[in-house]
Order: sequence, then structure tokens, then C-alpha cells
Amino acid sequence: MDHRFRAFTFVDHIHAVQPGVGIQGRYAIPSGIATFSPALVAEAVGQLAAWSVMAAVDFQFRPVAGLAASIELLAPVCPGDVLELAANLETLDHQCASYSGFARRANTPLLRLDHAVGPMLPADQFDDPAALRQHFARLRSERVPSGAFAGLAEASVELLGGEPGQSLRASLQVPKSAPFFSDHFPRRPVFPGSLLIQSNLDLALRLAGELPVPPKESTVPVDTLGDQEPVEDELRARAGARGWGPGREEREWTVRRVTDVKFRAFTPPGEVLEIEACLERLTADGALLNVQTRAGKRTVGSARVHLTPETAP
Amino acid sequence: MSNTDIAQDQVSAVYPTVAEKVADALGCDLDQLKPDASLIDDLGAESIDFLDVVFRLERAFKVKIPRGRILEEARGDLTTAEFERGGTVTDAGLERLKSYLSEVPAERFSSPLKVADIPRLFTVETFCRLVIRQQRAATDAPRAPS
Repeated sequence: MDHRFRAFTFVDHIHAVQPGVGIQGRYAIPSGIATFSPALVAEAVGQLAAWSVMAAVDFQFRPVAGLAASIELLAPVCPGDVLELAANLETLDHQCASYSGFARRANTPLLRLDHAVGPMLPADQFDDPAALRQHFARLRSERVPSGAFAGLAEASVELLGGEPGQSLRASLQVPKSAPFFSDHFPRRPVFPGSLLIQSNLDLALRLAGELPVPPKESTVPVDTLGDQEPVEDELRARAGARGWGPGREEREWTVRRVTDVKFRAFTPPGEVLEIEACLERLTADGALLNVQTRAGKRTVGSARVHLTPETAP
Repeated sequence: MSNTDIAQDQVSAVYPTVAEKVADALGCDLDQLKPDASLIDDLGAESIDFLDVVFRLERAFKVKIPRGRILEEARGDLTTAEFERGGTVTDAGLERLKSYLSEVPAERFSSPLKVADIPRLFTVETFCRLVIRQQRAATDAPRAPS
């Protein structure tokens, strides 16, 4: 089966575009899939921006995932949702493109991507520029039927251990073959950065599950905390005293923001990655985790994950 | 603009913020940083880190830093052919580079020097000076009539 522009393509129509300046589009999440993660929403915004960038340079170059200052997760996304997407380019030159963008469902903001930077590489290393040009024209002229994305197989992750409540390591086996490699990219299969981020978030949430969840009415006087002062010991002590802890609190940790996202290297099919999440800070307002991804000794990706305690749905 | 136009106290004034942003981008401790630390050889920076450093400096100092600015300014009025030949910096180019990157210890300029290896020379202070030049350029730029 030909998976091109089906297996990992999250823009099905472009309403408006000023190449190199800004772009608006949409993506209808197939209703038949089990889940659609926030990382894929960020991927959709990034793909939309990439169309504007590539159109500006006649598909000779393409941006690849590099940096993102901040990704805010504003509301959950469900299969069947229609994402309205937009991106504004901040800079575009021969070295990189930078942009900000967002996704919303009707009037509900879903995700905001702030200052993403993509290094520019020759497009023909990754794809057939003529095929890209042709698909861009199609996205401009018609609404590509939704439903092509069939979802993703569960990531092959094995927990390796760590220090409870402080750090957690896991290995991620990147598949040797998967439908998404046909799209990402046809001439050079690369494990998508968005899927790596999703694995980072999953591990961060597992580590957060070992942390005490601050109660709704914080018993820690706010005026003694300072703005973002760590109160980890106090929270842990109170958690012990009151019996709060993983699974015993009505509130749960929720990822609200990912910052300092950086991809240092391409991950090819079949690579084994090690992901490590470490607690940086625990306060009454939230937890900050630093997540590093390594291939052997080399760090290939990093991100900071910000979690807040929220009432469980 | 020559490097000698920049006084050391100006460098010292921006250094704490530049060092903080470099440390943030590279994920290293501030204690590891010294003004003459090479970002690549001493701090393990890769090409994506340079983009990260530049973007953090742009935000911190509210200046625009075009990518490749250091190399562009280092070459100055030399043509590409005068500056490099077949990927190697010419003698004239090397002299120009030593003058422009006067903060870099002389022994780090190998000869022959590959153009691709020029970023190995960049130190934390190189970025301080880049910020100062961009601040001056922004101040000197003619303002659009209101």
C-alpha cells in the first residue's frame, strides 16, 4: 500500500498561504483511531509551517525539526476533531526557518507552539521536490479526504529503572519499518521528532506518577513560597504525613507545557534510544522535569516538561 | 567594524547574560564557562546549539542576529575567493579572521584552516562581541519616519 501523504501527513487543506510569511490550514483527525496525541497536533502545526517555508524556496529546501522554545498544551484533542491550524514565519534564510503557530478546534485553543526553529536542508535529500510541489498544489485547491491516517502502533518502550521520585530511565526501540517512514521521509526515513517528544512526555508522566500531588487548597502558605521556589522537601513531608501519594489523590499530574525542545541528530529506523527523565523542581504549583534522549553516548534530544496538578476528569 | 572598537568593560557588561544563555542552550553549568571557552571544543556544542544560542541572545538582548553573521563580518570586505579557496581559508583570510576574532587565543588558529572549522574558534566572548555589534547596528540604523 502506498503510504505517501497518508501515513504521517497532518494537513489536509491549506486555506491561505503567503509563502515565507504565514499560512492557515486544517486537519480532520480520523474518528476511527484510538488516540491522537498532543505531540501529533504540534507535528500538524510544524507540517503546515513547513509547507509555507518550502513554497517560499520552490521546494529546493525544507526545514527539519530543530528547536522549540515552548509548546503549550491547552486542551485535550480527540479523534474526530477538526484542527484549525495556523503558523506565522518569523525568519527564513538559507540556514533556518523560525515560526510560531497554533491549533484550535472551533473557538477552543488546543495547542500553541512558540518560536520553533528548523534548520534548512536540501529537500531532495528527503523527498522528491516535484511530488511535494504537486501535493502542495492539491492542498491549496481541494480538501484531501480525511481518514488516511490509521493511527500508530504502540511504542516499544522498556523501563530500565531509576531513583523513585527523582529519575526514571527507559529504552525506546525505534521500529525498523513502519508506515510513517514512507512519509517521514520517502528518501531518508527518520523517526519523527514529535514521536520522540511523545515518548518523552509518556516517561515524564510515569515519573510524575511517583511524586506527591499537591492538594487543591495548598496548605503551604503561598507568601512563604516565593514565585517558583522549590518546596520539594516540604511537599514530600506533607505527603507522607497526610497520606497523599501516587494514586491516592483526586488530582493528577497533567502536562501543560514543554519547553527548551531540541533535536540534535536524526534517528534512523531500528535505533535503540535511552530516555531519562529527571526531576528538576517540585513546587506547590507544579513539577518541572528534564528529559534527555540518547543514542549510545550521544544526546539526540532534550526537553523540559512542565506538569501541573489538576482535578482528574 | 573591528574587534578593537569594543572595550573590555563593554564585554564584561554583557558577559553574565551571554554566559547564562550559552549555559542554558548547552545544558551545562555556569561554572564551566569562561570567556575564552570554545563552544565546540570545550563545551561540546553542535551546529543546532549555535542556532539555539543565537535565538536565546536575540530574545535576551532584543536584537536581530542574522544567521551566519559572525562569518559574514569576519570576511569583511574580502571576496569569497579572497577569503577561501577550495574550502580552506587563504592567508589573507586567516589574517582577517585573526583580526576579527582577536579574543581567540592565537594558538587556536591552525594553518591551514578549513572554513568548516571556523566555528571551532568561537568562544563565549565571541558571542558577547556579536551582541555588542548588533546592539550598535540597531542604534545606528536609520529610523523610519513616523
